[in-house]
Amino acid sequence: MHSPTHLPDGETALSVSEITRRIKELIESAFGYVHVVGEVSNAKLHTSGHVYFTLKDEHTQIRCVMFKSSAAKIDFAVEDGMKVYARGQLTVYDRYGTYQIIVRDLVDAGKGDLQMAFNELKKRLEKEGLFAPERKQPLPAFPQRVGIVTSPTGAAVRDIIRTARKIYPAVDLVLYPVNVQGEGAKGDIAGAIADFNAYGEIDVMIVGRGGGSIEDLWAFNEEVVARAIAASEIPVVSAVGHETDFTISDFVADVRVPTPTAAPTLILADYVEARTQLGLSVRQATRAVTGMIDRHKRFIDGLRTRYGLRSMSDRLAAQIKDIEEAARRVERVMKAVIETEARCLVEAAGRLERFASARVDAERGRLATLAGRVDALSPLSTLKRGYSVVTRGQTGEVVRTYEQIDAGEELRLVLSRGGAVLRVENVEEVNAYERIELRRLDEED
Amino acid sequence: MKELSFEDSMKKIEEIVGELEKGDLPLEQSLKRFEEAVKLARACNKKLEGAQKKVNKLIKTGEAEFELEPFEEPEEE
Repeated sequence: MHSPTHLPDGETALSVSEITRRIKELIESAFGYVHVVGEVSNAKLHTSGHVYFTLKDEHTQIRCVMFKSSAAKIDFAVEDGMKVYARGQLTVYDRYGTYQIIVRDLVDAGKGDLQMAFNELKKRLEKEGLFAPERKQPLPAFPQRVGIVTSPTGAAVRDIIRTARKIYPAVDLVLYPVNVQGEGAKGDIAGAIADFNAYGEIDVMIVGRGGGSIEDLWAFNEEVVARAIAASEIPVVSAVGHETDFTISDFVADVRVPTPTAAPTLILADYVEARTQLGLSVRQATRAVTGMIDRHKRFIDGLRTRYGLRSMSDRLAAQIKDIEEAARRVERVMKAVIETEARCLVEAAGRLERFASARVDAERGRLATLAGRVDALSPLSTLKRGYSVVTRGQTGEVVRTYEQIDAGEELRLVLSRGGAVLRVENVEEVNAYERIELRRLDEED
Repeated sequence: MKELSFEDSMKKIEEIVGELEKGDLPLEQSLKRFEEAVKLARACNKKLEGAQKKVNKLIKTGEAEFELEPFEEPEEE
């Protein structure tokens, strides 16, 4: 729609929109934020709250507009003939093809002496070394008690309290209420900083206030306040006004933050970190302990396997009594260990709570399985698997080898459920063929 | 026993995690240390998630003498 139109002779004509767009782009990127001094004329307060005026000198003039939000921040009426410093954005208003300054901040040049005083003090204190990086104290790690020097009624104190609690609800906040503007403010603030040092029971302090005009913030540009901050043995965080406001306090303090809200965010940053770290540590600890339990269990598993295997070969050698003993022994050893472990795990389960309860449940399940395997090795289970015990009728001694038996003798057979009385017809040594068969069975087992 | 500061608790927890990961301690003792770490972590967590403390204001009552008094917080806008 706004693309260049090609004329028959090859020349290109720009649309009005296009040339205006290019001018706007060029001017706005070339100037951006400007600082202009001039005299106000044609000042008009619109019903919308915006202030329109022209800035001029002897030769020329420039249009200015101050929107309601910016106009609300200045504490004087913009009147014709007034000399002002205007800061703002140079913009092109494409609708009328005009340029203007959108003024964000306006200073009565009649009060320019404030700026001069600021510059003078800043230069002097800087020369004295009060702003030197090596004078800056580090902020304490994990501060518990935070002092606040500010007005008890402003937005600043509310913002600081709210933000601090959001990060670390258990923080102890101690307010030293002061006037932050007007007569006596500088004395109040300096006194409060000194008093906090005399009191001593805070880890760090915030000194500041919310946004306002240069006059409103002036107390924080006073030498007595700067000296109190410099003398403070407790680290001081300066939190004055908005992002763009710089005060002498900011330069002297150990740390400057752009707004009061930013102060607790910086001071309590360790607690934000701690949230993540705590979760991590508990997971690490849980992993280490469950790993330890796992290792113990593998050790027991090893025991079970060893004893289990020996039982098998003993059985095949017809050493039923030995099997019984071995099985009982394994059972005893394992039950003792399992009981200890289970007790530990039950305790641990209580300790772990929500952090690792799922994990412990799994461990308990594995222990139950293990206990089941122990049962499987008990003599009763052996009988259930089809093996039997033979005892001599009179003495009740367990028959292990054929030499114990005489032909015609009465033997008792013990099965898993019930038993029988047997009469021996014939006794013979197992022949070689049968031995091989047995060995094969052994290996299959 | 006096309650450990947040910072000391964090250090202690780190120390215990180190011990547990090394795995030199017997099981029973490990579980005791583990319990200690979890207890500390819970106390820290309670401080991070728990109830807000009241704000006090510092009142000067004499030369280098101070008292704390509850501060009436301004109403939210």
